[in-house]
Amino acid sequence: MTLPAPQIDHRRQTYRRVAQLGLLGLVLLAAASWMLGPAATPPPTEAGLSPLSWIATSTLHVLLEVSLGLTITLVLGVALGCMLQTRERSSSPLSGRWSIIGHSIPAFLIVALLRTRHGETLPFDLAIVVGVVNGLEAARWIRAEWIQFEMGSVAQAVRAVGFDAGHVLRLFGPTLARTLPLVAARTCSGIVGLQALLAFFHLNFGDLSTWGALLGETAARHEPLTAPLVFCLAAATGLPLAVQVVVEHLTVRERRPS
Amino acid sequence: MGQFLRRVLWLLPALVIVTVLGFWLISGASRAQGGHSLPTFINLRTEDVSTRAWKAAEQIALTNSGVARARLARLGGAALPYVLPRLDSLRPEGRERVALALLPVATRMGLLPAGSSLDGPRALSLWVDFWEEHFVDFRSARVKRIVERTVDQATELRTQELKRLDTFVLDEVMLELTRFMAQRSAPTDKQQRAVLALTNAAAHATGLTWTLREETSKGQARSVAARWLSWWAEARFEFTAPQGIERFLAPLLQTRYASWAREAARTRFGIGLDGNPILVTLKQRFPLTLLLCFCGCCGLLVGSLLASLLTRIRSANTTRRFTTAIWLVTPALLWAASRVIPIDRACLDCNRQVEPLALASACIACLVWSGMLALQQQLAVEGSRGLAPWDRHYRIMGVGPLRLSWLALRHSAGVAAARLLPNLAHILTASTVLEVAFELPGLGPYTLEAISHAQVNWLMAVTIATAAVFGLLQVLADTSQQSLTDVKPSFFRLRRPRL
Repeated sequence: MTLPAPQIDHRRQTYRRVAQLGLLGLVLLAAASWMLGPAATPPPTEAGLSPLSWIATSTLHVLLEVSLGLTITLVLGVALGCMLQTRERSSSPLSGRWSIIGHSIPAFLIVALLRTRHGETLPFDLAIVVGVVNGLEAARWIRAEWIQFEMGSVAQAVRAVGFDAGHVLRLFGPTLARTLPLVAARTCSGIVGLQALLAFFHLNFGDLSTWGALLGETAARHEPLTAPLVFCLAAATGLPLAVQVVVEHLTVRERRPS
Repeated sequence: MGQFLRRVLWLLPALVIVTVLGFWLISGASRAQGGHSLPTFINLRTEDVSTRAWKAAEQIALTNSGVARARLARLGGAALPYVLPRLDSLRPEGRERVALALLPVATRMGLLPAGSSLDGPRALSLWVDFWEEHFVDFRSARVKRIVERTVDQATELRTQELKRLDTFVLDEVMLELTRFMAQRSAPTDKQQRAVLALTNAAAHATGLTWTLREETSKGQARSVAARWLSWWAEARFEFTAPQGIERFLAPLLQTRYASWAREAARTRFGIGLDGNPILVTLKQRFPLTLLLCFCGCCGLLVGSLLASLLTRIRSANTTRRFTTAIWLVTPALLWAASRVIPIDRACLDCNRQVEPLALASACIACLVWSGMLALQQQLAVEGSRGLAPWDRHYRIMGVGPLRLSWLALRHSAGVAAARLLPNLAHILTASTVLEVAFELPGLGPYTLEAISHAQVNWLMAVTIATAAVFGLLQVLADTSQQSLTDVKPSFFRLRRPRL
């Protein structure tokens, strides 16, 4: 008996996902508007800038932070993930456990301790901490992908034909194309989210204008601004979702048998 | 059980490592505050009072350096037993320079009236005569007796006697203050007078201003004594000469980390920002944070089990997007709820009663948020992985989704336990946010305040407490996961389905 070939309808799936993403965006906007309804006209900030101008000026710093965080995450994640998967089986779980422990420390606490050490929050502390913490998480993801790939039919077939482990590793490379964008998106959102969190805790950067600093300033004056909050929410939460949708679209999926 | 105990025991060295890393991270703050000259972990240039004093004397004899004169004057009476007997080994003009450098000490000890000055030969003869008459007083047994007599009955004469020995009495004085701090009962008037005399003598010798007055309260006496002991934790290496094993371990003991560890063990992590002992504050605030974290863990467990059920009822990908939306909106709604709920924001004192409404709201918020987090994480995994083979077999046999979920409950619980540790960071962050938002007297607000004031003792205490709880949770999660995961539902427990 031959099994029927899996039926894939990419176009329908894409439409559905885009619709769901739009719905999510609407829900987010509705929630933000409900919360911040009275602040229909955002007042200028203490620096005399309107919120949108502030966002424009602070974007460069945020981009720099995101670039640094991304670099650290990807380099550390790939290096540590490859190290974990190429080590002996006995030591691999132990290394994996250390990466879990490292990832289980709240990033805001590390940034706060670094702030205590330096006396102030240094500009790139946040990017380094988020990069390292997400790098540890990425290593675990890569290790999980490797285990799944190694047990799959492709890797076993390649081994059976007689190719060495290096060849299997080269075949594993494209598999990371599904994981790394998600890791990158989570790093970007993590940095923006941590900025907002530090602003909520009044642990802002000194004179640096970041999105989180704008949130902190408005919160301190009890004058919530719709624009920066929505901007932060969209950057911190919408980005991973968007990337997830794209990755899911690019990944071939089989329909569940009814 | 043996493995569980072994892992629990391994937590102790892990905690030591955590304290080392935490102290390294935080130690910059104490360095920035100034006044610390010791290295952080290893001191390869250990010096006791004899070495310091003689080095300073030699430098004064050779170059009459101002820095060395100030150092010798600071060492004071503690340096005399190591300098005066060896004056003969210096050249004549060097002796006079050293004797002149010690004149501020003579003024402090009451040998000279304030403001008077002597020339070199007279200063030298003053010190030589003093040492011939009073060298017996500079013995630890003699000092111990004087301090004990002062504690027994603090008179003006005995206080003067203490002052005449200058910094040489500091070791015994601090020992007595330690005994005073160790007692749990409220200090008596006699003890209050003794602390007054001892701290006055110490302040006179060192020039520090942590003194008491006659009319000060008894609680303030403990506070002043605590400040002196905190200062002495590092300064003792400057004024004393370690003996025996302490001398051998000096490279490790004469460090800031060792000083902190000794002080933490002795004073229960020191005094906090509000003047209370840190361990007491930790005991007061930790249960609330623990309750919130417990709610978060329960939320994770419930969310994972719910995800297992939903996966078997509906498509995982369909459900996940809605739960993701709810999970993302939940914090915003909770923040709004914290604004709307009428909470008494008048006081933030940790001794006040926690408002039940605020506490209940925070617990529910933590539960819901972590549950949604687990739900969407678990659904993401289920959506990408699909159902297990045995799950499909059951479906083919006609088992319904509810029955299937019940059969897979144990397996799902194991997965939930495995998911606990990576999400602890999220739970702790959520509990801190909720404590700040609902103004609950948990660890979060106090920790943020400690960060602002660079309160090393509190941060270290919180780091250790958090690491211990995380470690225990990890061991528990691993143990429960091992006993839950590798079990698949048995076919024999299944009733024959109606086909």
